[in-house]
Amino acid sequence: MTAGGDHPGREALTALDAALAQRPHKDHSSLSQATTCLCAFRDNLIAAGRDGRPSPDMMRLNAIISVVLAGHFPLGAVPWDELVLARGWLADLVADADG
Amino acid sequence: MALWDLANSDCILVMGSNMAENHPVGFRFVVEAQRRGATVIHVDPRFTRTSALADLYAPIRAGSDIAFLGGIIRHILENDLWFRDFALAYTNIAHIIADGYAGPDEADGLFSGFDRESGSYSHDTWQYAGKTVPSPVSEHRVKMQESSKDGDFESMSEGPPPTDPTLQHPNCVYQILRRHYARYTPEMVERVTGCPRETFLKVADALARNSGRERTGAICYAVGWTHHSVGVQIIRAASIVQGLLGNVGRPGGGIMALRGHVSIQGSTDIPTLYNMLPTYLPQPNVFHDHATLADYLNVETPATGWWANMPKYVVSLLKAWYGEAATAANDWCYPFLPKLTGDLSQEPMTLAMASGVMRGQFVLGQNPLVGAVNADFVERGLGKLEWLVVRDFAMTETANFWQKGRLIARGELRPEEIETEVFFLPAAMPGEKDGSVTNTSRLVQWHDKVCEAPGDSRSDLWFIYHLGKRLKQLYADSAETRDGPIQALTWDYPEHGAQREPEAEAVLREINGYRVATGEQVPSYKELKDDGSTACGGWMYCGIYPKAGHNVARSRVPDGPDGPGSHLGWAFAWPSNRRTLYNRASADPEGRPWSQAKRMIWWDEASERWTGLDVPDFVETKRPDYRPDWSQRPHGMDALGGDDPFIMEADGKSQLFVPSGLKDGPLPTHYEPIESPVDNPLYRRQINPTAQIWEQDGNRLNPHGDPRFPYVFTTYRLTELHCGGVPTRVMPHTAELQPEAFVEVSPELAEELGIRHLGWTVLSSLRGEIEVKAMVTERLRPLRIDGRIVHQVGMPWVFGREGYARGAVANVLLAITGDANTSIHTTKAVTCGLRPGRIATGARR
Amino acid sequence: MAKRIRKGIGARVAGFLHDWSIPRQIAGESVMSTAARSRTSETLRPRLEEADRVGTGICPFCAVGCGQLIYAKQGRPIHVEGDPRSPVNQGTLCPKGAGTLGMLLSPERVSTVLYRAPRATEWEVKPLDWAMERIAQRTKRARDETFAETLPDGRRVNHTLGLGSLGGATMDNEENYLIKKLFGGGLGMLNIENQARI
Repeated sequence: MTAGGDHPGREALTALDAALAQRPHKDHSSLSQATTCLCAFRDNLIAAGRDGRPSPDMMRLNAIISVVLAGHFPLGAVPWDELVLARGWLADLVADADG
Repeated sequence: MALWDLANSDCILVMGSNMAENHPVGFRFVVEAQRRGATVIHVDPRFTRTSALADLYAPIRAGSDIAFLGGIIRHILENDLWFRDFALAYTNIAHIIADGYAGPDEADGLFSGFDRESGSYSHDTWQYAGKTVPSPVSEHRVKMQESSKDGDFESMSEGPPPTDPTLQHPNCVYQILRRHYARYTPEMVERVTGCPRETFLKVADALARNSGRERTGAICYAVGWTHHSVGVQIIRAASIVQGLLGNVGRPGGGIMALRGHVSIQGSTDIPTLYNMLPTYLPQPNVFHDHATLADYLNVETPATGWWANMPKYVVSLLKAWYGEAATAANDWCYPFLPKLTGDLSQEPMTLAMASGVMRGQFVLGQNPLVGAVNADFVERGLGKLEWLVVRDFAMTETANFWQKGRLIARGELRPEEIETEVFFLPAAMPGEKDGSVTNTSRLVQWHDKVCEAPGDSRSDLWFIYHLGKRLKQLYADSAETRDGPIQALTWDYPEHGAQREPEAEAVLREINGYRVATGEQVPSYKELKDDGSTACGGWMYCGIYPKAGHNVARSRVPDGPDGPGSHLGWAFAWPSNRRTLYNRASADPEGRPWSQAKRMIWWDEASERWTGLDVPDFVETKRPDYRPDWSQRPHGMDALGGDDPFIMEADGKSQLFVPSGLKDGPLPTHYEPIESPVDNPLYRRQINPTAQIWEQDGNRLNPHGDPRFPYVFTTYRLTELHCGGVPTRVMPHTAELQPEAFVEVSPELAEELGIRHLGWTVLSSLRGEIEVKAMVTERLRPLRIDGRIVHQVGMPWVFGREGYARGAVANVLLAITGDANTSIHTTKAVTCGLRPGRIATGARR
Repeated sequence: MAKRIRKGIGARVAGFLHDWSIPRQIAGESVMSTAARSRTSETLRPRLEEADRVGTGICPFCAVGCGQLIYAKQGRPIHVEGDPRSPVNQGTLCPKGAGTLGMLLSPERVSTVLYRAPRATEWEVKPLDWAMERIAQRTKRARDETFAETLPDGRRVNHTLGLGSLGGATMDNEENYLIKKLFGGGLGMLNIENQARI
């Protein structure tokens, strides 16, 4: 499993898309890949923040991680609708980060 | 039931537990019952000292418990052996279930309501006809939504659920049970479990014979039942047996959960668990209708039964935590509470750690590198942390994973590559601190500080309290709204001595609860309010410190030989110091004891109260002939009759059939363990369709039918060595008694594989392999399952590389999986490979 | 030693026979009293006599909850036995409970703070106060970096999934209460779990 790379946010988006495409069957590999990439993305932001450039995106990213993790470990049914929302938030975040 | 109440049983079934070896002192009550004439039965994959002391031993294949218990249910129903007066009055056996309900016989091993898209069940077709029944437990709660097209929780206050006391209605619970268990015949039990049908019938007969007005039976279980993908349903099957036989709420009757750690019950009640607030209040969830306190209380509070009081408990908790900051205007600081999104129990937490979600981890008196499953996976996860704090009293495998872990020993990782910053803080032990612990039968006992902890060892109370003080200081000047909770948190506990030890009794006083205006202790949870005038950290414990200077957990007055035997003067049992829950069921519907021999509480007409040998678990003055006035839409306890003992249920009846709250079906059904060498003989569906399986690299399941893993593998602990904890491995006496690890192999399998007694063997699964010496013993027998021989091997999981008694970690072989309802891992029935010999040097350990 | 050698063989044999308890036991004297007596036993004193303190303990292993009596001398435990008053165990203990003193006094016990820096190969001993301050700082930083106050659409979550706590079943109710209160109610941690699920 790869994580990080130069664009962990975009990789997370790809993995999340793969997971969403797999509906109705939960795809553990894609979801754990998405989580790993999101965390690598966050690690980058954290490292940047500690260098004195605190990121306003951190909270958005943390919230996305919370929702993606809930897709992987749902209480009851997989919250697909929430994962779709998270996918949108992540796309915005990645676009902002790139922009 | 209280442990000592086991002595009053006429029949005790120990199953999913090796009670004589693992709860030896509790077992003395079983021996006492036997001395008084009781029949003791042990059902287990392995012949142990519990079996040796039992009157009847039945061998079974690990993981086939529901087939065995289902067979007992069938035997009781088909031979009309149930306690009719009890079950008809006090259980939902006559309740009529909604149209559209279908059992697994009709749908290929699935119940009605399975949604293939989400992989989960809708509960709509499991409801009582025309009703929506709230779940009484917050454990791992799914959405408590009023989704049924037929109504909502308020429907429970419109009238009683529909019943057919003649039991003829095809959708009444009695008929559903008969259909559901029709195929669990003695022949089928033998085919699935390997237990000879004659032995099975002796067990079923003994249980049935020892029930009724004059006799009661008890069932004792431990993690031999919970550590399965169907753990909750195994226990449910036992509760059906006990409900049918009238063995609940009565002397010598009940189901005894034999729990493992000193205060594991306390840490469930006052939970260091992700999904609950103290004493079984659900943790709010952002995906549920929990946005405001009103929303949360609206969807979580049942309209009828005792749980209708929930708002009082929630507001009092918020007052205890956030003090003056909590006001009616700000919803008593409800927005401060963290909201869940998903399952964050230990197994998902472990997987999340490996993905890099967790940056910091506290490990407080636990040793996951031995006690958790898939030890190599856990070890990799620890190496992903930025920092780790371990508090223990001796070095643990978890604390020094970076130096001596299996991955280091194998050369896969070097300490220089592990970034994790690790703190080991020495902990004070019992005798070196004071506080209360809650035993397996809800008995809360205070213990004293008698001696000093050595060096820098401190209590966990000291650690958390002083960490909290430092954090409050660090956040004191923050203007961020997200730092409001830590700023508002009440954190004033008196400190004593040079070490500034916080006063444990002050914390207990807060758990008990007090009046906000005066600071006076609240004597009973019945006096808690939802208007902010009371604060209470755990409503079920209210009464443990009812007035200043009176710590009931300290009381030490046992009954004398002629006393009632409930020992009400010895410590405190929650709730209200009662020893037997639902003890209203010890009296008949009219309020008279079922028999003189089995009396516990009864209605006293002269004083117009319930009275007896225990604290009544009922409204003290509610007459047996009280009936709800349905024209008034009664709520709370007013909606329960004077003959409805199960007051935590919305209609006061014990649920043989569960309409709400379970994720894998309203009735226990035999599915094979997640890994099994056997094809499910009962249904085409092999495993529990809602079991939590998280396959990924490093956590793969052994494929079904894989010839590399042909044996059933089960784990257990030893009398002398306790759990994953280092304590008994560094204790000279116990370490000397059990000096090294071993695997138990039957003589037949040993011969087949060329394994010698005390010779080395290698055990393997897709998660890892370990080497360990063989104990060739007839304690494990090959079983004939579905026409062929199945071998089982067993290994204690209590060893590790630290301490005096060392050996391979059995849990290396196990996978991270979860029961559908609790996410508890499977340790009791997986598959493994076994061969004589050793692991090639270099890869060893 | 020198004195014993000078003693005559006859006197030693006679003394031994007089002191030997087996013949008295065979003769029917009670092993619970006189027949167990010897010159050595005359000089033995129960170690409890030296205790300056005794208190009630609860056996720290399984959840049966056996009562214990813990005896201490000058702040150090010298004896642990079953509490005969307890209706749970009536003075009995299993091998684990009976070995409690050996746990408290185990030579394997660690009583200093140990610290392992990132990539280090060995532990270092550190002061407790230093460790507490550093843990508090680490906790705050990890919380702040992983906190989510709301979802991007405004729904409040107020939580962090970046911090976890494991353990509680071996500890007191008061300790569990403060863990849940501080970590959950104060810091917004949700990953709080213990042995109840394993």
